[in-house]
Amino acid sequence: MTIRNTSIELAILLAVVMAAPGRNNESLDQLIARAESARIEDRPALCTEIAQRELDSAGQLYQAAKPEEARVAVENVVAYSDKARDASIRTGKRLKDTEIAMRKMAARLRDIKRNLAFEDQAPVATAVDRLEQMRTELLSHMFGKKDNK
Amino acid sequence: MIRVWTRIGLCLFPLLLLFSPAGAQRRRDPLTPVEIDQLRDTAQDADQRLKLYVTFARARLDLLEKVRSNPKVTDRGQETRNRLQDFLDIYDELNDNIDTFVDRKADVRKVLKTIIEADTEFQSKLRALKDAANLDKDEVKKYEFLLTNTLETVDASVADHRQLLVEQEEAAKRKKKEKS
Repeated sequence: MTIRNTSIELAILLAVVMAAPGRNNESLDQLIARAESARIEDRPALCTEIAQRELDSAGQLYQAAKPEEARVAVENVVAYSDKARDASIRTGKRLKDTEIAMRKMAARLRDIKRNLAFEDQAPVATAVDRLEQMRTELLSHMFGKKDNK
Repeated sequence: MIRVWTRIGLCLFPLLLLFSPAGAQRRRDPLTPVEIDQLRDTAQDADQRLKLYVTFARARLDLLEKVRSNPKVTDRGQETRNRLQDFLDIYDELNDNIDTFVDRKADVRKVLKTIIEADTEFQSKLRALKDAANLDKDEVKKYEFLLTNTLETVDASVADHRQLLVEQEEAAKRKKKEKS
């Protein structure tokens, strides 16, 4: 009986250990698929992670002199940040975390923008403005809630 | 005559956009053009680039102190908030740049020591602002949340910077051993 219990425990432990790195190595497509089907409460964190990954890839693409592909990645940063903002406001979950993540992404985009050729700067500047706007909305929501209490 | 007015209109249009409410909502770059040029010249040099970020962040906190002690400033709460936001934006960029250089396997041990010293200085200045007594409640309300966020960011970053220094020193020791 003890041996059987130990085997079950070991099997569970093995499953957990195997699943953990799988999540970390999850591809962007898998993450997007998971976000689409996730509960709304889980969406702020998932969408923020997608936006952050898109931002990483935008930085790499600009460095690799692929401005068109980078621009698409920047658009995705905004799109998924917007989804994170929306889910956060609708559920009231992770408002502060989402706002902080957006602040950091905006800072990174500003840094990226400064190193770009003038003709490539506009979409990045627009993305920064959009992220700042979303931050303001999240902050208003946080403080609005406090006032209602 | 119409052509002259058209030309004047074309010249004024961008200015109008700049000062329109929509334009005013845009957050400006926390760095000045001169600072941006300085950064551009140090894109590949981790030590110089990160030191510049520390200098710029420090300058924003100095400016914050000046604003707070200037009796001519009318909206001290808002001004404090603006300066704090500039500091935090630059500090976020500093952290981003550290990550970038670490990803490139750069040795940032030397500059990390400078950064950790600066972190301590920033913490004490921010804490002094948080603990300042006899302040107008409405004034404090304008920057309170941002100040808490800033302090949390700096506190978390100090720990990260120290941890990174330990990791880099261990890696350097290992490298030295392998060579000998």
